[in-house]
Amino acid sequence: MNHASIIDGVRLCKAQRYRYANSDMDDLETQLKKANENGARFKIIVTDGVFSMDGLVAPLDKICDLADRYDAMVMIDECHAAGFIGSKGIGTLEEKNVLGRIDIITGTLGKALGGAMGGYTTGKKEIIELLRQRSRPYLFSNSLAPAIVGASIKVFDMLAKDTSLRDKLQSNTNYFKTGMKKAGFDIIDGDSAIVPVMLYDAKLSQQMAERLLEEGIYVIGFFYPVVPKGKARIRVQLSAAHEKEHLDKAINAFIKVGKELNVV
Amino acid sequence: MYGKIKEYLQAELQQIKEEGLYKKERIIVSPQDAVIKISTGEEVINFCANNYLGLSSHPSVIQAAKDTLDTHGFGMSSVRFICGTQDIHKELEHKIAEFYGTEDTILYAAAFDANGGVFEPLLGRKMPLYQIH
Repeated sequence: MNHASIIDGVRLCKAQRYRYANSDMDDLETQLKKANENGARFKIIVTDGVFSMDGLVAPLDKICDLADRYDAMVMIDECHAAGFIGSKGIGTLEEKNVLGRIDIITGTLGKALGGAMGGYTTGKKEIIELLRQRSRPYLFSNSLAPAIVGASIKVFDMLAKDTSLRDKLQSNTNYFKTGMKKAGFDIIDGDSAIVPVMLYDAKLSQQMAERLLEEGIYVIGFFYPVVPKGKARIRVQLSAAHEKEHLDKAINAFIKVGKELNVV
Repeated sequence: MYGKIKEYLQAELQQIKEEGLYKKERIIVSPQDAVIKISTGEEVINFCANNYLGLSSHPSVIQAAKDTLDTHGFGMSSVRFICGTQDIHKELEHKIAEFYGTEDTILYAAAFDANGGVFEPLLGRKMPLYQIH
């Protein structure tokens, strides 16, 4: 499932669209073959780096191999990865060892990288040059506000200096996941800072989120149509700003409310 | 005139509520952080922000924003290609390219715009595109 902005962007262009099942490489290959049979001149594979509802990382290494074999470009959306996935925090392209093999990377300054607003596309120079000439949101929207630009420069300087923030985020994520698993919760064990606590039932996900808020823990329950039917969950997002005591309080609140609602 | 459409919109809103898809906004009265204060006065630990690195209210980031207000002003009142490109816009674009090891970067007002504005300029009619679902 892609972000709404990718879906809208694709709707605006005249390209022929083929869809493949999430991270299913056999299906992707089938679709690439189909495109070739239909005489496609250029091809581009589009995926999220981290899928925001389950926190899983896309198999970019395999996607890049298929892209090479079928002469397709690769574009990734790094909104939920930039700044903290991978040992230097570059993102899923570092984690999956495909630095230099991704043709187009989009990302946001509105999440890990400062959180205000703004986004970017980075990649091959001809692509960026053409976007400056023809990309309508760039041509017809105001420049990013100077204060955001200045603060974002600072953010990239901080990330270049050391990896302490992403290291802390990773240790927070591991700590939380370990505690939740030990308590018997069914979590999706991905490689990102998103930890979905699976409840499967939509109503239960709402009840549990409400009760957790009463316990001082602010989380959101997601259910259909945001996630597939019968896959309702509470999505927990960790931060380098969290301290151990915050994580302990959250785990304890989950256990308390989870017992009340017969989840654990 | 705001006539018949009023009832139509009210019905639409009612339907969204009945389907359980109505999105309410919780009011926060503090900066974004690990602990936030909500309008009811309670303090809660936040586990639903995308504030992964804790930079949303990091003192160094806030200071850099303040400093830039002094040196580069508040707004540009322009799109990039008329009179809206400052030295810092180019500097940030270069830093992002350096971070990824790519050749160049283009900034947008939002990532929604980055994704929404990439396909149409690049893809001709015969160019297929793969999308996951």
